[in-house]
Amino acid sequence: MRKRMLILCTALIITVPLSGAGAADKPPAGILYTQPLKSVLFSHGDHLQKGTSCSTCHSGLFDMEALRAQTRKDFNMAALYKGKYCGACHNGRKAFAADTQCARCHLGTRGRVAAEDAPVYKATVRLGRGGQRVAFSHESHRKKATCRTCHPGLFQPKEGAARIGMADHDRNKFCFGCHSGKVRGVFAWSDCSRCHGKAVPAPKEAIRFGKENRIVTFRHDTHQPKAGCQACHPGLFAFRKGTARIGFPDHMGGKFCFTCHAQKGGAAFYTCNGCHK
Amino acid sequence: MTFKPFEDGKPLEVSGTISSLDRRAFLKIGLVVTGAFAGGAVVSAVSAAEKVFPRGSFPEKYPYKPHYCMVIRVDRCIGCRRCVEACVAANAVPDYGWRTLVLEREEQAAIDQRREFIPVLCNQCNNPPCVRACPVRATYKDRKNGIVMMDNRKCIGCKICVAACPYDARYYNEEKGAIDKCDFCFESRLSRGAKSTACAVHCPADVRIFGDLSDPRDRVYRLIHQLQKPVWVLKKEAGARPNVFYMKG
Amino acid sequence: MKNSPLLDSLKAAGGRILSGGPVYLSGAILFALLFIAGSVTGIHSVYFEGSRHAYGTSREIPLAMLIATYSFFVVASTGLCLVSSIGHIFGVRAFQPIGKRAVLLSVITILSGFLVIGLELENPFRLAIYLFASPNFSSNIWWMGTLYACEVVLLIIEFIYLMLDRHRVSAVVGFFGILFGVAAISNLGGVFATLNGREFWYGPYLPIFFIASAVMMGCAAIIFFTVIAHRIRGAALDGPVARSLAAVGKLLLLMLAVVLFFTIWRMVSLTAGGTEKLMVLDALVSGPYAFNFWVMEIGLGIVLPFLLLLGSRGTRVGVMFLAVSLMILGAFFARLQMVVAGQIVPLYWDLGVLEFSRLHVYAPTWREVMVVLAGVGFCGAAFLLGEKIFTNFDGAGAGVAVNIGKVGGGEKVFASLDETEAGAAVNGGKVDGDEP
Repeated sequence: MRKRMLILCTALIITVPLSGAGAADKPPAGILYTQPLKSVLFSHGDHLQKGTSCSTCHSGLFDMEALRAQTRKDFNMAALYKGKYCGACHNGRKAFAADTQCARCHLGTRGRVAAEDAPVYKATVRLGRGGQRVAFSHESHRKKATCRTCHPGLFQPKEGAARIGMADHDRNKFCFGCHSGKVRGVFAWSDCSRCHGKAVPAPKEAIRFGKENRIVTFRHDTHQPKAGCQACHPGLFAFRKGTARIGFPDHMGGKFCFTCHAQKGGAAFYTCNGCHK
Repeated sequence: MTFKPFEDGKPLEVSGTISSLDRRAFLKIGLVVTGAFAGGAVVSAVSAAEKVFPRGSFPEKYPYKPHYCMVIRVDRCIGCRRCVEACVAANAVPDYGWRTLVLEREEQAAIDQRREFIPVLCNQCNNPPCVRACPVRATYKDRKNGIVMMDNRKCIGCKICVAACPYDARYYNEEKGAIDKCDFCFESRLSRGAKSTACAVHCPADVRIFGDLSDPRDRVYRLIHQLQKPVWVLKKEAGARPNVFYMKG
Repeated sequence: MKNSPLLDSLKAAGGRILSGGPVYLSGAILFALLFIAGSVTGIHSVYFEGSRHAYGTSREIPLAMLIATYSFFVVASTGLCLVSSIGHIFGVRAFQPIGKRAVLLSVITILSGFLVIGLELENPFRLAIYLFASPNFSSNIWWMGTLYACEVVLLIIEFIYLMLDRHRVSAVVGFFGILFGVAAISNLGGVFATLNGREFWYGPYLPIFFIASAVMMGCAAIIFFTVIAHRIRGAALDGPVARSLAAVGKLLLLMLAVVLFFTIWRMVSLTAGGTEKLMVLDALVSGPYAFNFWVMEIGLGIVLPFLLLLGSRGTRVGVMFLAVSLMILGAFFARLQMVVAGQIVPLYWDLGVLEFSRLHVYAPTWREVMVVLAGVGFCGAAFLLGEKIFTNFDGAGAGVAVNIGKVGGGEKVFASLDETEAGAAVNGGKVDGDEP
């Protein structure tokens, strides 16, 4: 009994501080202040690059709890000019003065309504699970866009709320309005490895083409190792089940499957039973 | 009403290009061009028909009393849009239109600060293209204070004034059945004794300064009539002679 | 009890209309229905739906298809007036046979234009009051409205006197009519051209261009309607009318060349303009309006009609008809483009702000198209009815009086049977099933 208690206490003593330390090691990447007015975006990343440490700000100037400062009545520019809050460094000596370059910190509202739902955002947001997961980086996007670019229109500011399927990739939804290949300077989604860390596995289930006696059952696993996704998608087939309409003329015309399964070169399709079982 | 600067007998021989005779003839048709501030943009072009002041009085340069104007200090604007909200609340601006906007500019090539906010509104021009274009004088420049006003009863909704305005300041208001635009809060505030517009009062950063340009003691007078900090107007080439001035510093 | 001659004439006219044959009647009914349907749509759009939802116009593009249609019709009207004046005011013989029809069409097209603009304005009834009570003499719209109103009255008077073959009086009235007309159309150009804030429109070009375009459209319109009129009457197109059309065709060729020259220089001067002009140029030449510009305005509106007219040598009426039809269609799209392209570049483009970083977009709604069709319907219906009500259009010009039984003062207008026409019908032999 005592031994068990000892083990339990040791375990607790080790894990609890660790989890706390884990939290302390990862400050929220961005904090959006909307009081007393909309809005100022503070970036931990920008400040940590300057060689500051946690205690530079968090030993009296700011609470550890995000957004606590804006609940205080003296959280205004006058206080900053006196050296409180950000003004302790932003006084023209350590960093640019708080009464210059106003719009460098102030983000405005982009219209009459500001995104107040997620004032604190994480540096990395996990989208999806398993082999297809994507680690989205807020910081790399913050330079080029603002909160309003994506929130709340494209994404709810809630991790896990977005369900992004393969079919959405060419529908200009979610990320793909910008990552469509049509926006200058933004890579297209067809460059899979830019977002998906690991190779995206092909769907395991069989895909049925056609109806009744002409059904063709297509399996990715027999094709993918040979050809790779790009060989067929999105040029020949959309990433969406049920959209391809393959008629007999296409067999002759070299469309769809028959770009490869043509008479010369690939396995000819004259053996109907090869596909139509 | 005409301002004759050469009556003391010293003709303008120095300029060489404009003879004194031409200048006097120009002034005779009643166009008073004064002021060389704001990059030459502070100009009062007033037709001789508007005999507001007796000749010789100092405010003659700015023929309206008070000559309302607004100075916008864009380096202080933080885009909080409180001015826009205040305007909507004070003047019942519908959600499909706007009387004032705060535009946002991102300059990727800029060092340090990359973002800029620029408030825009009706410039209450001294030579308003909208007043010129309206077929029924539904919009007119008030003779007392220079605000470009609307007479909602007369508006036929042809929207030529909307096309004429170089500042996109006008829109058709369905509830009023007429064109609507910023009137420096005249109807909602100034005519009821207030001294300033809703947007200027609600700005937390002292960006918009509303005042009387004809009063040398007024803050706007001192802000504009100086040569150290640049003062400019939007779309000067349109020739509308606006009364909203922008500055930094 | 003697029947009133007026009533007799009206009955006779009604009889002629009803006996026009199935093609004619169905055409007249179709156009009348278009007119009614379009007018109802327009009234509903402005007074019930609200133009913000109903029409495709917006704060950034307040003037669009309906203004373009209005300018299309009134430019055609002034052109018709000018073309007819060449004949019976300035005495050019070759233009005389088409004079009467041209004046009537000038009235009809101007009324079509008024109809379209009446369905565009938010408060047209205020216009009727305040145009007189509160005029603004610096406003091009005021001048245009007043001058066109006067011109309509003068044109109607001129038409009446023309039909009475009182050519002296009609020439005098007509002269003032074209004075007012030219002044009015210049002010229509001036509505756009005096707006310094709109670089694409500003300048002396548009009023001048509109005059040239008016003569071009007037020539095209009179050829178009004369050919159709002769089909309705079943009369052959020969003799003085055919020669007249050939002369009009020559003038049309000249005006097409003039308009092409204008357009070329317009585009060339844009290349040396500021930001806004360059962006409009890009939009027109290779941007979203490229099809409209190259195919409709240049191709169908100028180049193809020019080639067809050259090939027709003024005698092959079918080819001429095709040419003018294309030209009229192309001209409509040219007007639409002129009006819209002047507003697509945001006014705050130079500020470089995010809110105004793209060209504005305009797309007409079906309601606007219906109102355009209302104007077309009115024009078509009035033209068709006019062909049956007024019958001594052809062959009459200054000094060539075709007086059939002068009964009295006004009734002459509704002549029942014209010997010349009957003779033409018999001689021509080309009867399309309908006897006049």
